[in-house]
Amino acid sequence: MQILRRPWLLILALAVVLLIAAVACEDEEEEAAETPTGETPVVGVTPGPGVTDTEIKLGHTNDLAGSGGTPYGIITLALQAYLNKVNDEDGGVCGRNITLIAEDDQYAPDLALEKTRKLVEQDEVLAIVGALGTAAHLGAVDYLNDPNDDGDTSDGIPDLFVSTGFTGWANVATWPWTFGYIPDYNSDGQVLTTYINENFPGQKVGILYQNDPFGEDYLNSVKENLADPALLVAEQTYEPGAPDLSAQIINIQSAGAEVVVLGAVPTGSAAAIIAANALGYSPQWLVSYVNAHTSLAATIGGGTEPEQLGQGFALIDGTIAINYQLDAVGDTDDPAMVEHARIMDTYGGPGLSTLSVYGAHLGETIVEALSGACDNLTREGLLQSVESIQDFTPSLFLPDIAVSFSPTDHRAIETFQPIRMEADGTLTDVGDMISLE
Amino acid sequence: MLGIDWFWTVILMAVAASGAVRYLPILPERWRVPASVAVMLAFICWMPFTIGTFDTSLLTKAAAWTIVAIGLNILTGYNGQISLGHGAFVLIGAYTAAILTDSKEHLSFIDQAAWPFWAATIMGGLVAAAAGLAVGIPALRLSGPYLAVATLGLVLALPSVLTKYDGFTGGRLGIRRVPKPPVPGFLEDWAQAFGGDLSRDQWFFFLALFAAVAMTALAFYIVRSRWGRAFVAVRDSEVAAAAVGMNVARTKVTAFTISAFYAGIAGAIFLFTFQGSISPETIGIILSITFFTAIVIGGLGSIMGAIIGGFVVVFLPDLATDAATSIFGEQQGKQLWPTVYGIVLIGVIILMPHGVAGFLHRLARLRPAQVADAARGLPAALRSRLGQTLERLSWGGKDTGRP
Repeated sequence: MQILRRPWLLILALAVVLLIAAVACEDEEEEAAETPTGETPVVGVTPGPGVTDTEIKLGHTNDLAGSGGTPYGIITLALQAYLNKVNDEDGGVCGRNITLIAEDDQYAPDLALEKTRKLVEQDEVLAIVGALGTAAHLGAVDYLNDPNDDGDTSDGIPDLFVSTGFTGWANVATWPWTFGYIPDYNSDGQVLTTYINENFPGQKVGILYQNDPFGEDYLNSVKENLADPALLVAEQTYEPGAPDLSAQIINIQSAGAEVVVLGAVPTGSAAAIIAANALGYSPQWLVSYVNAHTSLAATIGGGTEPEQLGQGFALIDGTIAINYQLDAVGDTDDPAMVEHARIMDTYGGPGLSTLSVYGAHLGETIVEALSGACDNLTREGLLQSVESIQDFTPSLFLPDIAVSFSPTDHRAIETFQPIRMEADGTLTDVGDMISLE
Repeated sequence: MLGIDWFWTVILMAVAASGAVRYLPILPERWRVPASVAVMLAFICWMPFTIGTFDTSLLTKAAAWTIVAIGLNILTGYNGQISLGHGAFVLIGAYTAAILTDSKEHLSFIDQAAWPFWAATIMGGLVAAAAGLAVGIPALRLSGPYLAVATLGLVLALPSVLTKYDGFTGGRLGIRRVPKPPVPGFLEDWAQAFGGDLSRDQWFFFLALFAAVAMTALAFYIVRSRWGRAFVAVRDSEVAAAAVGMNVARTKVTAFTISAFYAGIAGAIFLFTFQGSISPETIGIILSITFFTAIVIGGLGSIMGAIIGGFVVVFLPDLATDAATSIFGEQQGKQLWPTVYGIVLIGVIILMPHGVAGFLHRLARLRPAQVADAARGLPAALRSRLGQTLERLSWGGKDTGRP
């Protein structure tokens, strides 16, 4: 028989089975020993999943390692650093430390669902916070709002402060457990158009937008909100990643547009501004808020050396955008910014940037939501707490901008400050706040 | 201990037990392979009752990706055509199944009544196969890297097309909350007869497992059939195959079509048993390339390699993350896991040129005497290899005449 020539294989296999069985039994014993030590709460409501006397577990999904091609992993680092500070210096929240479990979804919908299920079913977190990426989170949002898919949403999991500008997150009827956070692109387009109506009445308007749903949000909101639709004289698109936008800019210029809206990401906006500069065309630019002025200047100038940034800032001088948070470059003297720099430095956060500021005020809002639910640390309690947040201004927001929710409104920010980008790299507030409420 | 959790303990037990049965001396030789497969299946069927719901869902996804990998391996491993764009066929299968079972608004002239999930799954496979046929014919003019790039174009283009025709694809949001197949009554009765209860996750797992086993059996049949031998003959030499009267073009198109059929079935299974919704970005370019990576790691030209590949897609990133977090710490590890993942891929390719399946095959054929010989010869071999390398690297070395 063949096996007799290699009995060692059989012996090896049996040995492996025995070894594994031994390891397994040991594991089970350990688990059995651990189980009875579960804490029982003293008074009040039975706490929800992920909550013990000392800990609140929260889950978070993001493109942590950047394999999805985004830089947003920085947000998670900043959020974690801020929560570490809350645990260390403020005694946590509701007398408990916050544990943030971050999972890498690689910006992919199937992995976003997989990791979200892991966080909910295996780690048993109380809520998911700051999930990032429209397409990715669309993979997980139905599960969070109706985990057993029976059409009854009462067993949902709080899906707090989704970090994408998709307008649909605020759809309370479909997704009652989901809350938006950053301004949605529709609102942004609406505010920019309102600004045009008020400050450049009668001027001809052109729009250049990225040929995808993000860019289309800008086209639609400009069309809907422009005081006189006939003033929209040029609509041009570009494909994501297109290096040269001269043709589009020539079309916009020859249509006679004096005001140009850029529904574009920084690379697209930079290509448009460079092309216009080469043509000697200098319209009034209004850009999507995804164009943080530092990254826009760096893209135009070709780098982050002071000289290159200076070139970039010179070209975007006078550009209008909206803002809602403090600026990592211009507001370094603001006490909140000084504190932010200290927290990032002390608790292993990333270097200061728009994204670090974002991650930190996301943390502030999460702490605010939890502290409103201390009496009822359950998923329902947290939902009610978030829906009752009114006029909460995180320290890293601009002073007059606040987060408000209600049971029928799950959009976070509905008031915006128009700002002008200056040649010296600072931002100046222009005009009054524009409210969409 | 060793950081191995219950899930991996059960997997290792299953592998070890089925490996032991494979070489069990009391069994007649011809019973050993079926018996080891049976032992493996028994373990797999037991798993959803002992591991958690989340791990069960991972196995479900691995079963779906195994089907893709088997189909892709028929194309690449057996027929030698490279496709980096198989995600497109998966997406086509999933969309077809979603449109047919969702009776809300999509294509009302076909699906006024929602189709049963199994019919929609088969239809998903057939529509993907039709797409594979349509792609396979022009692909005849391309081979090697050119075909790879052309297929990559498929997976790049499809999401935009799906977004554009939003009348029946649901646009960017896709088709949401497709009705998932309910647990059949007879299975619930069985489960109760055993004093248990079959949860939805367990049912989805068994559904995906059934599909994977059926498609695996079909694949074994295909590769041993006249067609399978023709695939290999054309892969090894098109000229020789044509010289003995084979229709090379038809063989290649057939391989493409079968492979797309597998991807379509897998897309529908993925939709019904795991994702529940489908949107244009659900199967992206990264996942599409990962399918290809998986069959190379698993082992080209081997059904077992494809099965290992399906597991590689789902579990290797998680294992790499576990390894990275134990090396670099929790936070750093989650940011640096692709480094470990990449090193593992490189390592497998260097150490196991025929993939994991090829490695296991060779391991199983080793004789103790060979191992002993190799061990005795190892220092000498290393010295000689090192000497050669140094010689080639050193600038002052004498010219050996080798390139």
